[in-house]
Amino acid sequence: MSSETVTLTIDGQEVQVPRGATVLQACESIGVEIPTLCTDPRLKPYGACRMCVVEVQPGPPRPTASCTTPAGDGMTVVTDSQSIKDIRKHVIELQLQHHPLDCPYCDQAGTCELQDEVFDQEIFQSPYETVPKAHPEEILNEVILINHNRCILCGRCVRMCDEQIGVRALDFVERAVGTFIAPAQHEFMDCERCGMCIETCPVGALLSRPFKHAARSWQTEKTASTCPHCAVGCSLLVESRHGSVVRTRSNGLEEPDRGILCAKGFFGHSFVNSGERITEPLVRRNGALQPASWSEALNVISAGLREVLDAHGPQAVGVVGSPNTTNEDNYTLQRFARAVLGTNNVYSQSSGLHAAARTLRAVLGSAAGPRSQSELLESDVILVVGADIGQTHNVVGAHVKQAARDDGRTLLVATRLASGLDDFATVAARVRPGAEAVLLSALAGADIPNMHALTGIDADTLTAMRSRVQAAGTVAVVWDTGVWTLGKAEAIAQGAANLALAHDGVKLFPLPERANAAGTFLLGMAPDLLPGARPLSDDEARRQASDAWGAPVPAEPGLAFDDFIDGPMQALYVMGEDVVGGSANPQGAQAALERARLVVAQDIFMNATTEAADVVLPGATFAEKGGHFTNFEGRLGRLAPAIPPVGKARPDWEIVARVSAAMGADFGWRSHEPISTELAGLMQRPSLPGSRESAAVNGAAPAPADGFVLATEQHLYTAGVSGRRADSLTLMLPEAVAELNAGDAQRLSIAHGDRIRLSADGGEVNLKALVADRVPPGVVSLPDRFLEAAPRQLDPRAPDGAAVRVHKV
Amino acid sequence: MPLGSGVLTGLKTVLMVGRRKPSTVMYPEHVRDIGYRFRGQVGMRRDEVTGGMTCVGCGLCETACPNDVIRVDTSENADGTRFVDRYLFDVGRCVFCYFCIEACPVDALQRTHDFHLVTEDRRGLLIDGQKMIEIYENDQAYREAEQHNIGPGAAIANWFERG
Ligand code: SF4
Ligand code: SF4
Ligand code: SF4
Ligand code: SF4
Ligand code: SF4
Ligand code: FES
Repeated sequence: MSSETVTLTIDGQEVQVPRGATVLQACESIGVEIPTLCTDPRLKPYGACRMCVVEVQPGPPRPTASCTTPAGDGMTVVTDSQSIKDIRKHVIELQLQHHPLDCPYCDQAGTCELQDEVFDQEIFQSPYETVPKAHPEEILNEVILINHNRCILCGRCVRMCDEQIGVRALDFVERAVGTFIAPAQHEFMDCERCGMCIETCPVGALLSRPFKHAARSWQTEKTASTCPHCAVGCSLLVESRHGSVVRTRSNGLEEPDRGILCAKGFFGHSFVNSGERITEPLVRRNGALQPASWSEALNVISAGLREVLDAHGPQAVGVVGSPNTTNEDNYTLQRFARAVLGTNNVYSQSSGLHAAARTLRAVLGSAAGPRSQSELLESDVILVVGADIGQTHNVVGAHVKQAARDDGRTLLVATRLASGLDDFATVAARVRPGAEAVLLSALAGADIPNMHALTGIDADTLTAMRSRVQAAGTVAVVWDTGVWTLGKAEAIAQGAANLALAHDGVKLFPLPERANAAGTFLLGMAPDLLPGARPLSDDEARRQASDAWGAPVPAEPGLAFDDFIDGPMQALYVMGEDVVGGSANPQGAQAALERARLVVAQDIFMNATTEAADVVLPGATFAEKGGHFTNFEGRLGRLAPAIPPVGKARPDWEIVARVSAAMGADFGWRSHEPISTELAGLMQRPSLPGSRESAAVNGAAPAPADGFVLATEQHLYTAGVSGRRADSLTLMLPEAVAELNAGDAQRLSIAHGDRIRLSADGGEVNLKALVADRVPPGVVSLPDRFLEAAPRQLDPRAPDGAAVRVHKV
Repeated sequence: MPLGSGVLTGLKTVLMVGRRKPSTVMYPEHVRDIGYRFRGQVGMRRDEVTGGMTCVGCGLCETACPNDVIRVDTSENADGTRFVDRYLFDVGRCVFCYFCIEACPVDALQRTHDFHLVTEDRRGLLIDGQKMIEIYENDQAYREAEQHNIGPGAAIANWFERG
């Protein structure tokens, strides 16, 4: 007992705290407030500012920084003696020597820790002559700037970037009174732009450029919500003013983000108030989409659907849900389809995660997941395969770095491109695009002839990885299921399953490609699934759904999407998805949509699908509606409306419910809460055994003798349609770029910024070249989500790993 | 009291008062002086360097105002300083408490004696920073009177001060 806790006396009050806690934490635990400037709960104690001084007995005969002093048994702590108060006041007065106190136009005012201290200590003027520093405001990169005069040199930004983000972009430069904060080499700061240095800065030194002078911190309404950009599902604090979102910040220290965000979470909100939003219903008249009232649009839809149902039956109708919208939105659409329209043609365009989850379930059964992030981070070995999760799921990537460095986890990295994870890895290797599944099988023990030629990984590295996996008690296998798994998602999942079958301690973590991809799978947004991802063939599941919905769910599964649109489709209802632009055959999909009697597209921006639609409905973004996303762990992230929907836009579930009501089936929902309750009641997870059979995977081709292998993966700064409409993110990556290794570029005499042409059997794309160290020789990397240079133009089925030729134009 | 005496008293009053100078004036052709302690519309000082508003866009007046009268929208200037895109003041809601004037850290907001709030359209009561500068500058005479205790309003102010 006593070894676990220590007892000390603070201001005459006895307190027990766990051993290892600091004096500061002990004080906080009983509500004794100690002013601090350099402390951040996310960071390790540092002791830079000396604001937190207390008198400690027994201890040195001078004031001690409570934030760095461990609480000891029998200590007596005095926090509020006159001399302590004087010291604190003096610390502030010294800080004010350089400080401009331009609070009236400083963005930090109101949330500034220094300002609060100046107030609390009732300091109106520094007794010292004020000497502002010579440095003006300095722009560090597209989104971050620093005002050196306001910096108090607490080092929180430096430590944040190092300890939490693992990027180490900032540091102290010069020494003594001349010290200032600057990026390494004091040049343009090409970091991950997560904004966490801004977030932790206690004063208005590090500032967000998009937010600069946009609003005062106390004027904004603050709404707790969830990031819509990827499947980590970080919690956000959305700050809005006069119906616009002005900034988003990290909210709380809980899972899954543990208090940090990535560039998309911190800077990627401006799509919400983009001028390009669809703000009113559009109906096609005389071949052109024209503004219409809600009632007209609903009439056109219900009449069209009724006509198709009467003439062709429910098999001719289908609905497409979206991993960009909430569980409630997708559930409403599903209920509308299965119970009102009577069709099982229910889809979601999230191919990667659905394919991976189905394969894992078939082999390993329903025990395959999803699993929590703490299980991932507590595994002895963490194996990252394929895409760089630092780009695709940045915050998980940051946590993995920390686990490797601080908690002694063994990190094995087998990504296609070099990444920030490499520095933290025990073994880091470059796997050839297309050979990831083979590598996983090889790690599981399969004997792969010609290993080096196929995967690009030599025998020694493979042995090093294999031995670490085999020796470990628990192994987390982590991979992104994004664009790079197109056409091979099953093979990769099978490879991972092989590894899980070979080693009991293996846990699998497929990271879904979009915010709610896991949600759409668990909700059963598929022709053969029901809520809870229970098979449609399960009579009990169908009965429960029918009871809940008051209408029978047809037993016959729907068609596969491609068969449906090329076959019986007469009416299609698409919610938050670009089925044309995201298709392997956009022209074919567009033609199919044009053939159909009725296409309804509900979205926030115009895209190839809305252009082909008969009715376009304005949906709401994450900031305008309530509901939940399901993240990669299966955890629900709550959304709350921060602003009213722009124009005539409405929450997506409400639009679908209104269409349903117009067809005579009113669900009676006036807010999203009853939907959340109803769907929770249906989310029983099935218990499926799985075949538990490992299977050989193939598909890897040796490197082409001449030319390049294509690697496609989501870039850190791209996040679907919405991300391309967020100004701050487009600043970071304005256009599609093909990344090449310096050696290859030199060989082809391609310079940074040259236009190049990539061609393959499937087609070609023209774009800008970027010479990047992260790309290994013989590989050319293309980002996802740029329709003008979509990887699928090169190979519609499986672009990743395709052989491409590179030419300078 | 004899019959009809009330009518005569009334008539006498009418005749007496009818010969006096009227207390009312023909507003707006004629405008009366008011005491310089009068709390009129809130004005804005012109910045001597830029010629625009002195306001730095801190939003403190907006925060201090109990009636949601003020809206300050800001953005970033090319040189990185704060630019006031728009300063809106809804006089129709103002109760002339002058909390905004108290709050302003750069003394951009100033009290004036302007009471000309008559408009044909309520929207005329929504004024911007430029209009507030005009109001302030048109109030020059009162400000001087206040300083030197002579000129418009001085007599009334002195009358109040004497009690
Ligand atoms: S950093 Fe804080 S104290 Fe300094 S000017 Fe800004 S708000 Fe004021
Ligand atoms: S934005 Fe993030 S990565 Fe960049 S310096 Fe700040 S903390 Fe580091
Ligand atoms: S920039 Fe901010 S966080 Fe960094 S040292 Fe200065 S005051 Fe601290
Ligand atoms: S990691 Fe994903 S959920 Fe978290 S802030 Fe970044 S984009 Fe948003
Ligand atoms: S308080 Fe003064 S400086 Fe601040 S916004 Fe109002 S008028 Fe401008
Ligand atoms: S908070 Fe302890 S030294 Fe800064």
